[in-house]
Amino acid sequence: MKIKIRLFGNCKDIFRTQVLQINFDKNTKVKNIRNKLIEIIEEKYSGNKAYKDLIKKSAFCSERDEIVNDAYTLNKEKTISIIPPIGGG
Amino acid sequence: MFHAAIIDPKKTKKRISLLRAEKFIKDFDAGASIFFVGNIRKNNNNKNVTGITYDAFDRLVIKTFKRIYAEGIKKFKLKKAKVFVEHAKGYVSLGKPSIIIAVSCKHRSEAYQLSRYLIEQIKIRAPIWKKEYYKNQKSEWLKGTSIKTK
Repeated sequence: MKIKIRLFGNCKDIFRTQVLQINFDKNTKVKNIRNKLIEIIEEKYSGNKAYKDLIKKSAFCSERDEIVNDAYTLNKEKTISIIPPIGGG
Repeated sequence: MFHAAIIDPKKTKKRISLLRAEKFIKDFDAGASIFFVGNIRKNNNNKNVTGITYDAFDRLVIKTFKRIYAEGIKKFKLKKAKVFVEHAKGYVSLGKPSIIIAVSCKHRSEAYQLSRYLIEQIKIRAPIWKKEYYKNQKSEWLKGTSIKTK
């Protein structure tokens, strides 16, 4: 199934877009999405450590605007947001 | 009473405003009003800052602001408080405000406590990101704090 990944902050610059669309197996978990993003960085940026660390330190947010962990399964949801480390104010 | 907004001048053609804040929290039952204004400062980590671009997950920011406000009211056992929070989105130049938190309460101690609680929690929980621009034409996203997951 096609999953939309909404990007924020530095992630928009890294992936050069606001939304990524990637195919995953049904009932994929957040962990798989995180790993896929790291995989893209491996390919695009020769494994840039800072970018990979950013993805590792990021949280994810469901369509219901709840922060979810790596075990969270996307059943019917088609969109998830990646929340890199924050720093407002 | 609570007001929260993300203000993106590109979309709304307005900026965060102390006047709006003052109007919102005005209350003849309140003996104390606190205004906190966060501004873009000239120097950060020995770099000359010229401005900051803020990115925000608007919906989640507003939800987080509301949650923090509710927690604050409960934590300090406040029966009556008016709170106004606006955060800028997009580019904010040196010296300009990026956030305004205005609080009115019956007494000064609770107004100070609530105001402090709001800004400290917003800093570590609201999904907002900063990209700093420097005098030498360079720019960088600030490292920030990871949001805790359960």
